[in-house]
Amino acid sequence: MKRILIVDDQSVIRWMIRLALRDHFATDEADGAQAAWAKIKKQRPDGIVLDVLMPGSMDGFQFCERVKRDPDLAAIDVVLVTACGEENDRERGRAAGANGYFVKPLSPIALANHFLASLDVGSRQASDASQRKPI
Amino acid sequence: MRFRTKTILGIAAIEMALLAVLIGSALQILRDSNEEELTRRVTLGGKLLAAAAKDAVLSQDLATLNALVREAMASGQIDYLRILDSQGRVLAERGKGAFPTAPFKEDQSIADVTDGCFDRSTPILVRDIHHGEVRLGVSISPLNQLIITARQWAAGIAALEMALVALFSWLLGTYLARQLVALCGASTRIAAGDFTSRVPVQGSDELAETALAFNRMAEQLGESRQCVETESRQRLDALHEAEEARSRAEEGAEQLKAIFDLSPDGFVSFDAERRVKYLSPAFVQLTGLEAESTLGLDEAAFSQCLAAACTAATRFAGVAALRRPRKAERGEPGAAHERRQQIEIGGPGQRVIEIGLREAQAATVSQILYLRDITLEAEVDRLKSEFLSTAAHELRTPMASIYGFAELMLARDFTDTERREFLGTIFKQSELMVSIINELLDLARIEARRGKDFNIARLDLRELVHEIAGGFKPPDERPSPEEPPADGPLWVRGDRKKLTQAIGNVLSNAYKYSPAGGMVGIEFLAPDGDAALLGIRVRDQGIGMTEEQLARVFERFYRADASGKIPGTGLGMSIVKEIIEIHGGHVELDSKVGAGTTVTIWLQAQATSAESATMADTATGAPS
Repeated sequence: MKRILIVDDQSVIRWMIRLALRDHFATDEADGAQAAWAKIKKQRPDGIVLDVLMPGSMDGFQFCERVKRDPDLAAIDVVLVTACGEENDRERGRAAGANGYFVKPLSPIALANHFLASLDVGSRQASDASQRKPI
Repeated sequence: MRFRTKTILGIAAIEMALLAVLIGSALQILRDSNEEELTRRVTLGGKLLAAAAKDAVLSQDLATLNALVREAMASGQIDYLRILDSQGRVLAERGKGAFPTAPFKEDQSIADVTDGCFDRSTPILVRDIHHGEVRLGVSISPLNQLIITARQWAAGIAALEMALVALFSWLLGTYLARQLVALCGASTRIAAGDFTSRVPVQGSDELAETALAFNRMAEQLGESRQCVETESRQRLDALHEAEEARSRAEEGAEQLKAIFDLSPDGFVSFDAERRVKYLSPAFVQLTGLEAESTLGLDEAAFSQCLAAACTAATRFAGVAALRRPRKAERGEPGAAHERRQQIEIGGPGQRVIEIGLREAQAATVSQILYLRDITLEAEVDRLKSEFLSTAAHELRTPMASIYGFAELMLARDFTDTERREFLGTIFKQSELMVSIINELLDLARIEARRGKDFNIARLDLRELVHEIAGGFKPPDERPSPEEPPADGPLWVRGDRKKLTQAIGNVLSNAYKYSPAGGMVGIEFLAPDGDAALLGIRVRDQGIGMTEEQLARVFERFYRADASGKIPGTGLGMSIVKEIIEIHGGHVELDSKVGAGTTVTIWLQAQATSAESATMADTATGAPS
């Protein structure tokens, strides 16, 4: 089972994402960049769900850049989740090398489908909700 | 002394002197000739009588001598006659009156006469032998009388002449003076501007000619005066018009100067060669460019100068760039709008400035650049959009849970317990959204009305806080906040509902940020030496804040806890601050990480009713 690390300072969001992913992926959680980095070093995940705005010295963009710069970790599928839907923020996400960019409120089903597709996990869920685009 | 008097006196003096000389010398001549005549006659008479009496004397013929004497006396011209013999005896004598008693003394000339009688003795000589003598006297009184008469006549004639001369000179002087006075008067009138004034012309003498000449001069003067007057009136009118135009221009210039000087907008005018001609004080203030270094620069150099003062992000594109679009649009109706540019002036007094250009038609001003300080507007815009994006961000977070859990429940199958849990989360997050929206609206209302809708009344703060604390439901069934022991009222002026909201927010934070429990206490403060303030302090033993966090407490949506474990909107303290500041108070914060936070609300104290009554009475002097 592929592993996905959920990084968000809000537990309710981590819980929601975990619920969306739990049928097809093994999940792990971290509430900040530091904890996340420690977990990545310990056990390399296949995908990361990363909140852009996190307390601490490093935000999601910087964290993503760091992951993508590391040759061992660059292949990890990083999805940025943010409450900022502005175009320049998306641009920053793209520049940081993110594989996906979801704006809150996000569709957890769409997030799950992204990983199902990118990590090539079969039996993609087909539901009305999966067709929704993030708002 | 008047001319006439001078003339008369002058002529009189000359007349008098000349007449005196004339009369004097005439009288002298008269006297001399008469004396000479008298002398000659007496001498001749004496000689004739001596010759006639010679024979009778020699013969002592007294009868002949008496006859001779009688004859001689008959002429009436001799006063007395005496013929003496050689011994001096009187042979014959005769006189008009008494003979002089004084001894005979011959007078050589009339000047020698002392007794009014010219005495002369003529010897009777025969071959130079003295035979006797003839003594005769002739009175000189007729001569004197003649001289006196002559003098009287002369004096009379002289007086008459002088009178006539005086009269003539008086008349002449009067006439001359009158003419001169007339000339003088006419000149004065002309000098005063009366060019119709003329001198009366009488006769054909030099004065009349002078008067004629004067009148001609006056006429010409009048004519030229009229010419000059017409011309000068025209000139004056022109001058007046010019003066009016100048004063209108001055007025306009003064108003413009005031506008330029006082306007907060900056202005730069360019001359016909598009060189900087004028900078308004506001321009200098806005851009920090000095007038000395900028005046006279051409458009490009000026643009460069201004661009150098800008921040790199919003450099001034140049005056030409402002002009170009208008040129391109020329001819299109309604395309006269001016293109404007926003620049930011760097340095300590960073400003956002909007620049526009207006092309002028005047000969000396080709264009005017105007600068408007929009720092405040830009800042307000920035804050507004920042606030909006923060608000949107804050709303997205609870929305994410609501949306996500709802979607999951629709798409997936979950157990009833799980579904209940999700619904609980959705409900809680909806509540949070509602409170965010409510608090945003609250904050917006407080800010917009600035206390105008506050219902200000005198309140007992102690009673109010007791009521709030009593009505406050601490979370997790924790004990109610600790109040100080009951005491006298603490009066403030305020809006009961708003103060309740503010104090309630502070109490709520105290519980929320002390999740591990611990006491929440309230105390009242009255600072020493400042009776005008009253403080309410709320103290918790919670997680506390760092200096950095403390500094941001009043920021909209700022939350010291970013984990989401502690519910909240990040607007509560902003609302507290707004409410308290509108009440004229302020909020103080003190916090230590791990030790807790104290929030102190300072309000303006209201004197107690008794005190205020006393003070009012003292002030008005009314009896209590």
